[in-house]
Amino acid sequence: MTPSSTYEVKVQPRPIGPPKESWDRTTAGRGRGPEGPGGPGGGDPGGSGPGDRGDAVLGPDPGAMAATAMWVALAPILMLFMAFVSAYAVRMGLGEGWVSVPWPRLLWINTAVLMVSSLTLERARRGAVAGDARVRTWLGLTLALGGGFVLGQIAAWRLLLTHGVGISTSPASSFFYLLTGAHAVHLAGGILGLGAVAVWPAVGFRRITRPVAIRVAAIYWHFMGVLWLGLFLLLMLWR
Amino acid sequence: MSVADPHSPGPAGHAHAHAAPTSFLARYVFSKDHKVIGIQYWFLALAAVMVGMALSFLVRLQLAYPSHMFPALEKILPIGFAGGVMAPEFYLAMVTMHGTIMVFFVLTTAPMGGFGNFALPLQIGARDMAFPTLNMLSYWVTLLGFLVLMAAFFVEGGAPLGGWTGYAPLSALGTVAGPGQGAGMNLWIISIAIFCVGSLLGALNFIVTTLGLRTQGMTLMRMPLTCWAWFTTAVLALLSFPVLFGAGVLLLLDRNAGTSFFVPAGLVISGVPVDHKGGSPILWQHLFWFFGHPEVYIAIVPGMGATSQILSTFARKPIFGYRAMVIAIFAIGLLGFFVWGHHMFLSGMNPTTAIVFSLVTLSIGIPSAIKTVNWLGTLWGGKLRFTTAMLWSLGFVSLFVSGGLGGIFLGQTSVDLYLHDTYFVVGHFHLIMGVAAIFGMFAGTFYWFPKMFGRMMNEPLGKVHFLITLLGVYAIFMPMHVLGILGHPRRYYTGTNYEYLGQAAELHTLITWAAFITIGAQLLFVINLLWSWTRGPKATANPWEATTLEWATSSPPPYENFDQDPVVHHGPYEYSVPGAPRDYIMQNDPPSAAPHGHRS
Repeated sequence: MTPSSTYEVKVQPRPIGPPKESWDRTTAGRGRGPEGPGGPGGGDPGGSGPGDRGDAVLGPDPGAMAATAMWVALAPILMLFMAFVSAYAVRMGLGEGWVSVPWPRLLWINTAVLMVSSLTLERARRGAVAGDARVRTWLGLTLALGGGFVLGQIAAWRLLLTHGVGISTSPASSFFYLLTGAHAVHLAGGILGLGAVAVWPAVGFRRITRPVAIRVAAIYWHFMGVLWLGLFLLLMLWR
Repeated sequence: MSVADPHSPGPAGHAHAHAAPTSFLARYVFSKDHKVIGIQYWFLALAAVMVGMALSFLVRLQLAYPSHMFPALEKILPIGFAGGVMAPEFYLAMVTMHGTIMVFFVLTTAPMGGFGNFALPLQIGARDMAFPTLNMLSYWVTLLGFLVLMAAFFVEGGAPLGGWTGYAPLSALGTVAGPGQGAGMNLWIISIAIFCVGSLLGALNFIVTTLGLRTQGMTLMRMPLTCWAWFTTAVLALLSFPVLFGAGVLLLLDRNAGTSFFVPAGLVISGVPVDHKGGSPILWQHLFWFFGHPEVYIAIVPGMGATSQILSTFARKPIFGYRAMVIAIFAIGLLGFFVWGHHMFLSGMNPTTAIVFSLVTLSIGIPSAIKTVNWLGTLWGGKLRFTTAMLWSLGFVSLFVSGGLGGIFLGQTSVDLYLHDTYFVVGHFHLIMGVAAIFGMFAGTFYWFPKMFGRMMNEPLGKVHFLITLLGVYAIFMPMHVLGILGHPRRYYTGTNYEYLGQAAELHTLITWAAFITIGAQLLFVINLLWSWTRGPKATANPWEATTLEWATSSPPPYENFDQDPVVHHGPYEYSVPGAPRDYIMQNDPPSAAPHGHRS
């Protein structure tokens, strides 16, 4: 083989769908990323070359790179919440001055809203792969539900405040506001990101198509859903 | 696969139509080029180390000449030297800011942000980091963090004085705990939080780049050990900085929202009862040290990588036990997450827990010993070339051993009970975390300077600078171990109130003068830097006759790093291969460069 053919193999536009060797092309078959690159709707929209710095992502398979980056980015978020939760456990173990927070029933509705938003986003993700024209509708619905969740959380805080439970009322209330607040801030970030995906052609990076962008955003969004479920159960069952 | 000469121009050229930005701002200020960003980080660390060193000068001045009159300093620093004598609060602020600046903006910034950004994409044959814009952002966020920290000097009450560890409850109470604990402490927390964000963005980029952007043939086990070191460091940063960030959020809430995460009930400070409900100061220590111990490795692991690279290059021998080195670096990183309790043996910890932390701590000695023995094995029988970079690396090994031995004392609960919070600890962590990491940075600077700036540094001047610095740091930090054994507590403004510390005065004077001379000797480096940058002889592409990919392109490299994407056929350290025409085989040399049957 000549070097030219070697190189061309590398930059060829590759067919959509798994499996791909490009993730770890030097150790084919080993060391796959957390998400098999180029899952449904993945692939390299730019089609060729590793890209340049005008692009947000370099590499022969920008979709896989972006998805990996998202998975990697979840690790510090998880660590942050683990730090908060272990602090919660330690503080509760001390007992002293711990007064359980009255449970706002509104949280049940908020939780349901967030779970439904994951379903609508999943619908949008699949629609994008299949070329469904209603993708933007499903994305809009997801955004509305996400926004509804954050507003619902704010309403729950206001409810607690009217009952005289503020952030500094007791150690338990401090943690309640901390955990729900930190999650809401992260979800608000997700709403901004998903909003950008919804209007993708306007802000889109050349090498990432909207199906890929939705897939990457969905990783974050679903993670926020699972994280909330964990926090919800923790705050409800163990207070 | 391909057997053609990878140096010949190929069709890959078509991908290199991207021209470098032409405007000064896009090229050197808001640059997305990893090489420029690396150099920006490097200069940020240089600026920070100057500030940090100036602060240590003041600290040492006080320790050698307690309560001495310095009318000249009163003119420069009227608040800190009111009446010509250094104020105790000012002394504590200097200690705090020295530690914070050095740990975050020097020891974390230069090895990872500086050298990692500059060299990692080059060494794996990539054109840049995976996310160039994110990379630029990580630098600017870090710079913002530094500026916020500097602002703490100028706000009312001045810089915080609770130490770089920001221990609660003193850090959580506001000005009642001291003048700098008001606005200055808020800025300190915000600065660290900003720094965490910048580091996380950087770490994310390092990990994805290493996983996804290696050039053809660059398998994981063909990566230079520097790349393994940066990868490990990035994982450590990714998992530890969020915890510090979280702790900072809690501390800010305690200070500004009236919560009681860290402040116990019934506290009375300076006669003033504190209005808090009962938090746990130990909680801060757990969160802080869960970050704090991996942070030690974030500082030193890149230095291990650079040392491995440089020792192999200048011993003209393959690194001894490459695979063992990779495993050891990972083992050190992994174990580093389970030892934070050894900073807290005296916090009322359950002795059984303490023993577990102690055992895990001591077990880090095993991978550390593997690394040290492998470095010595690399040197053994080599054709040593004593370049300045080599000398700094040898110094790194020396400091790693002497600093590490102190850790074996402190890692044992029974010994630590006595030595905790004494100068023994100060001597220990300065040797291993501070100075060893700095030696790694100097080694990296002398080694990569030709690639960074296209010129050679002055070797004789570099060697004089090395020699004075090596002797200087030992003269500073070894006697501190003695002070610790004497029972001299750290952080104290003065020991003159304690009769038993009278015998420490002479040692303090010795340490201070050694520090002054060592600080002065750094001027040689600045001169060398300025001279070499402007007047140094032009560097060839591969002045050290090294093997890794950064030397396979011009010095400095073009905007796209390589004229064509390199294809790797060899391991990272193929020096003195029997039967080969030269004593080094570059990673992108054709397979035929190695004699038949040679395994790479």
